[in-house]
Amino acid sequence: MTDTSAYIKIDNVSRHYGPVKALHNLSIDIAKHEFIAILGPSGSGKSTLLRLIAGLDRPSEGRIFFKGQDVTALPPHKRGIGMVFQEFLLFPHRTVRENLAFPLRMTQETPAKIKDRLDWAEGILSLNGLMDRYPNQLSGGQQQRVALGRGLVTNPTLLLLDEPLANLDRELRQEMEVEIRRYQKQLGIPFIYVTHNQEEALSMSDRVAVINKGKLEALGERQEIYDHPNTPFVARFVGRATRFDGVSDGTTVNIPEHGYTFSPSAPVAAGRVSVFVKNERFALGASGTPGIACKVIDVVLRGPFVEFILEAANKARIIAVQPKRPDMHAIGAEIALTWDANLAHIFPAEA
Amino acid sequence: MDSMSLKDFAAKWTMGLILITAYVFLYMPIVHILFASLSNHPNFPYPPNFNPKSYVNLATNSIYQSAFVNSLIIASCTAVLSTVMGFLATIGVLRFAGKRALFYAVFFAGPLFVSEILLGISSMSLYYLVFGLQGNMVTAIIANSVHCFSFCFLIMAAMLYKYDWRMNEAAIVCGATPFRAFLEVMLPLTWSGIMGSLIVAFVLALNGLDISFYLLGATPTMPSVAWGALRYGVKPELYALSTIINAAVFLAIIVLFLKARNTKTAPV
Ligand SMILES: Nc1ncnc2c1ncn2[C@@H]1O[C@H](COP(=O)(O)OP(=O)(O)OP(=O)(O)O)[C@@H](O)[C@H]1O
Ligand SMILES: [Mg+2]
Repeated sequence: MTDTSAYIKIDNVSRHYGPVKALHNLSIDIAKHEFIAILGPSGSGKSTLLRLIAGLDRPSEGRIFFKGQDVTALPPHKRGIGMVFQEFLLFPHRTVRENLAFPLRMTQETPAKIKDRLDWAEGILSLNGLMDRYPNQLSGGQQQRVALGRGLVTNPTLLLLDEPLANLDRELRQEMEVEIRRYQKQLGIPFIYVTHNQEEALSMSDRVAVINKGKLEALGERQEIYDHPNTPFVARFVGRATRFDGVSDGTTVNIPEHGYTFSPSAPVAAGRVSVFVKNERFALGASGTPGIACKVIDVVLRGPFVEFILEAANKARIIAVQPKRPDMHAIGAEIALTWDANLAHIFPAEA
Repeated sequence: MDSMSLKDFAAKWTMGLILITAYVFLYMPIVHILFASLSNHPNFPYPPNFNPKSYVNLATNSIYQSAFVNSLIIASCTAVLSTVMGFLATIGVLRFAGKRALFYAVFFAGPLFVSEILLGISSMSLYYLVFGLQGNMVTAIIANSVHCFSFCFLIMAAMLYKYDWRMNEAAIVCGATPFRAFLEVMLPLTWSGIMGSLIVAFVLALNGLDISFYLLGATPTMPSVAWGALRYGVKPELYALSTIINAAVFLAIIVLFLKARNTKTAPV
């Protein structure tokens, strides 16, 4: 029944802590060469999943396969994996060199091989001149690179990363995102990257697995997940979106609170619906044209983009993101808010 | 400006004075024993002089020697035994006790409040009644370990409480067996707590009179010989022996201090 051909196969895995279902019937197949992001809010079970893959924890049910071999009962030190933790967890009593050599010593490599791998790590991670320092003598970004190096020196089957950039500042994070993705492409092993930051997930990964309350909500190409969310949770969590409560009569959707009606291209089942519009997909028309009449109450500059904080007639706040232009709307301007009916995501209203 | 620096000056010297007073208070009795052991008049060794006679006597007195050796054996074995047990208890409480950690911890610390003399008498009769054991070195070590265990537990719990157990996990995913992770990562990082526990247990067992007294009967130990000597007039050999032991303990403390200073602190 089970097809074990995937490079990494997570087959119907559950992990319950007493009554708490940290993970529930989760299956993911991961190909070699794949960068997969596990995205979910805090407490959704991301770390639990990673710990199961690493072997630091055992599933209550289900099996895990590496290259077709069942590793469910294999202890972590025999799995041949690398792992990078959010707090780095470098060994504080050892120098960078000793930290990097540690996994190689554990796998009984020859001194020549160890030296070879250390040189490789030093080069690829730009650790020149840092090798004889202790972890507390390094900056956050440098510690991060050492942690990454410690995960990679042994040529692991796969690399697990648990929010490895959460402790870094924004600039450095964006720099490291690019670096990490580059290493993954260079090494050709799967990276499983846990994050609660959807931008991070979208910027680095090939595929995104969205989990919520221990269940897999969506699994797919990042563009697909972004453009065609299959559940209200994914629509709300991936990207920045605004939600409207609407009523569908089959062909048109009315949003009573704003008195706005639009016609989606595909028919929608009649009844109460939730409409999600990505904030950058709003269009701001001239006041008086059809749309939701809003007033610009604030304008936030975000680099090449502008966030318009809008207030509708019923005082509801809506955020619209637009590319920055010289002739943009000023604070106090009256506008009409609309969107491309084909780009809105419409789901039956949740009970 | 001038009055300010005068104030600083006064504060500095006052603090220095208080520090010196505190040290004098702590070390006067110890230094007195040193002088007494080296003096021609051990009962009033002032002004101090240098006479190694008591040390020579000590080296030829077999009672003191065997007392010293016995005490050393009891103290080292107790230190190791109670530290190992305390360490296991600490891991149990911190790692596996969950919500009941405090409950277990309180009961591990409980024996702390039982007086040593009661423990000595009770152990003596218990071991004899239940196990038919006469007082010997082994029972003395066991009884001392009961007494020292709680101290060791508290010392190591305070140290390991701050330990990040995921350090071990980090080592294990690097390919280390759990034992290797303990040896190469956890032990070096918690060394000062373990060393503290060893020292405290060693010193407690070395100096504990009651337990050894009730459990060993005729076998001499340092405290029991000292106590016996008190009744027949203190001999200078006793001062010499005390001085040697104090010196050894200081050496151990200095080693610990240097070790702790060299240990790199964890990044925050
Ligand atoms: N040892 C445990 N005992 C009981 N419940 C646990 C245990 N570990 C995790 N849980 C629960 O399982 C759920 C998932 O936890 P997990 O750590 O996997 O979340 P997460 O997605 O990593 O969250 P975060 O983003 O905050 O790290 C949470 O509700 C958590 O309280
Ligand atoms: Mg987590």
